[in-house]
Amino acid sequence: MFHFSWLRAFVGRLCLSFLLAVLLLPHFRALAAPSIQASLAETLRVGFETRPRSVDPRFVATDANSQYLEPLLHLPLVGFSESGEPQEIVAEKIQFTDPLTVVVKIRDGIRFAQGRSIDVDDVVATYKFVCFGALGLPPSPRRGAFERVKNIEKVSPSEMRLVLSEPDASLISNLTVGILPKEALSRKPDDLVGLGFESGPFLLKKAADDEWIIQRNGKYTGAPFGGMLPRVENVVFKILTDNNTRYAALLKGEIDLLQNSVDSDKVVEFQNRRAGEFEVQLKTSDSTAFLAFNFRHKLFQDVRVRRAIALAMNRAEILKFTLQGLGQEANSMFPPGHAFHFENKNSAEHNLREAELLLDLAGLKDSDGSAGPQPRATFNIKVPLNRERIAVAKAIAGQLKKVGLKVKVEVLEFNTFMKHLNNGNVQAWIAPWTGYKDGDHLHFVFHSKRTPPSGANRGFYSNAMLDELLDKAKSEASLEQRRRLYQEAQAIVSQELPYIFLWHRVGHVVHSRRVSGFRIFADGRYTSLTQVQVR
Amino acid sequence: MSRGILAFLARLVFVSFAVVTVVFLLQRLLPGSPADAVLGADALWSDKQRWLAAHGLDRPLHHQYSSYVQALVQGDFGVRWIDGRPVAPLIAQRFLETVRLAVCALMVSISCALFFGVVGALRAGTRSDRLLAVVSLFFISAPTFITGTIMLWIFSVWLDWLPLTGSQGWNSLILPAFVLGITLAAITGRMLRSSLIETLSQDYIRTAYSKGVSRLRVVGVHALRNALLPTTTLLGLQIGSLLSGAIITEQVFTWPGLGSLMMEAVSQRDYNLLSGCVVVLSVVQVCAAALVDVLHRQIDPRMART
Repeated sequence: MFHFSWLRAFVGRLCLSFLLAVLLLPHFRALAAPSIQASLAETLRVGFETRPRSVDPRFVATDANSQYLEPLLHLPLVGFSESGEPQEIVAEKIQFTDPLTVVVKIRDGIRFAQGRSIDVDDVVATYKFVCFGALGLPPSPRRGAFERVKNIEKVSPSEMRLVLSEPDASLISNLTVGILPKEALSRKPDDLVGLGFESGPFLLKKAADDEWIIQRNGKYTGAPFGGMLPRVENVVFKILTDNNTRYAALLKGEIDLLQNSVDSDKVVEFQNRRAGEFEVQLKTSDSTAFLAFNFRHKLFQDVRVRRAIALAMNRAEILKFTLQGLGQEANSMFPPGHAFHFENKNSAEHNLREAELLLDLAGLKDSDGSAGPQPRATFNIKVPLNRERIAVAKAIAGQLKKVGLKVKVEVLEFNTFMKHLNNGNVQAWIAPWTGYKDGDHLHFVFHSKRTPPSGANRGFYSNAMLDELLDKAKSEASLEQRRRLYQEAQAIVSQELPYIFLWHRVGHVVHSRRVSGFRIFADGRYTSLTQVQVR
Repeated sequence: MSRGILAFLARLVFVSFAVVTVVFLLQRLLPGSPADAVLGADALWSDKQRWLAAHGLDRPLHHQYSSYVQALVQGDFGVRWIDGRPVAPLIAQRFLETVRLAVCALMVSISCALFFGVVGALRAGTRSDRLLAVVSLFFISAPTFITGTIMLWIFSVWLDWLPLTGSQGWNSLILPAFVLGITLAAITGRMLRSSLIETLSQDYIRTAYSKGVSRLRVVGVHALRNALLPTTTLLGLQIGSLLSGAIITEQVFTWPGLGSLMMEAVSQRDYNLLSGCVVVLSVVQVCAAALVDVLHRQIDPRMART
């Protein structure tokens, strides 16, 4: 028989050490805390789901976080009002002198943080870089928005001219590129930190993989954003990729604010059970989810089938149970309040009997009844790897089963999903369009000449009347006329149903009660950070 | 000795070359163009073509391969496509963070494995052995994101003892290192237990006791040393998985390591970044195997003669 008193003693010491460590740990934390505490009132900490790719105005691509940060650092010619209408910022006046010429007058007195005023040469140089590139540097991902720009030139000390190859009335709403000093344009991508090239209310202090920090720009000249200096000294954007970790960080107070990056059920929890510690703001966003069809697939060439699918879907039910009510049923591309919103009076209300009737008329008979195993037709819906979209696709599949349509949900990694979409290797898919301000987005999505790779008509939809309206709207300078043309175009879309619009997501902001002054916008912008105070 | 070093270097070159080749080909098989990932799916087609040409991705595959290998031989890992930053310092920075986490996790793993293994073997069949078996089984079977999230909620949110995320202070290492280390400890501990039980029943152990050698020395020196042989092999393999398989732990604790960098590289189809990460990891894996060989020879001098 062995005796292991040494082992017992060892285990005893181990337990004792562990206990001591556990007891002392909070005190070590307290020792480390004062420096953080001192700066807390001056610092707002915001959680981001992903790292912004670039806030260099030349290279801001499609990721939302980069687009949110860019105008806080680099003022553009044009921003947007709450309803999405263009508003001059660095530009004082913008006008089409003829359908192919836009003249921009630059506002006086807006300065870069380095002290120099923004002049017309800076604006010309920035836009020349975006439109035509520069030797030895990668092309700007924003060039697509300026494909009709043929020439950019300075016409006077305060004016520049953009010459187009074809009329493009949506050009003004694309003049959102942050202006850089001309000497910055030869620098490598994102090599702009700490050089005073910013003209917005904040300066970029740190751009690391785990956090980004912006700091109040003491030389900010006021307009726009309420015409005042930011009230907080620093805003830290912490990159927290995991859903649970973001939620826990907010609860624990490691971050103060989350916008559109908490699961829907958690938003409800913050609203109901944690209202004392947190404030929740909701607003219908400009993100519109849709189910789209590929018109090369025979099944979807018949409008009765598309309409039957729309009628068979119960969007209210999906919104309630899958998205916790954080959505507003959509019947057109742009949400209510948007400058190009279309009120669709013919939207399909949930009606299973009518859906079955339409499918019968389309020749898709259900020989063994909706409860029988034989479906009328089978198709698949592709979705990218996203928990919410997968749940939505499955819910739709369940609803369509009731009218005898068998739907297979296929989940793909995002890049693979996009490749399938652009190759036409898809029957139906679910995705959202987010943040589009101009009605010209309809041209990009539905015009028959905008099939991949030259556009996003990925369903290969074609309608001559719609094409004509969209072309006319593109070359129409009058905003009123354009609105009317886009209303007509959307009326056709609502009849033809190349897309079934599902809902406009309700955007949400959850922030601790320490924070005041933050305001939610439909497009998720962070411009109200200038008004934020942290107690 | 010099033959051993030469063999090691040859293995290193061969493995790195093989890994580079396989990764190079596999990346090109992934659906989705890097131009889409960098410029956005809705960018102009002509711009995408221009971007591909600028990065040499429009050339035949064998040309791309030879240019990549040539650059790699000269120590040039290329640039990250998203922002044009050189890949090498980026990987080095993240690798150091991963090593910091891996070393701490390995310390947790070794100390817990020794505890699990020795107590389990010396008390085999008793209640404490069964309890340790249950604890080990839990950590072996529970996925890291579950243990990680549970630990995070208990120690960071409820008790508020440890920071939730980041890699600033020493205390931010405790939770991720523990979560990463304990899973490995559970496996290693079970292996050490079996090995130690077998060793303790050997004749030479009985002989040592009969010669009056102390218990501490018999178990700690004679038995444990021999029982450690299979365990060190396992530890060698674990170094590799600690360095490359910490992706989930890095996600949960927002640790800026190599795992999350690789995830980013895959999602952005950044061939340079992904190849660089994999090359570094394969070199580390080969070095870890060599280290295990050296350790084996130290533990069991008979192996030095083979």
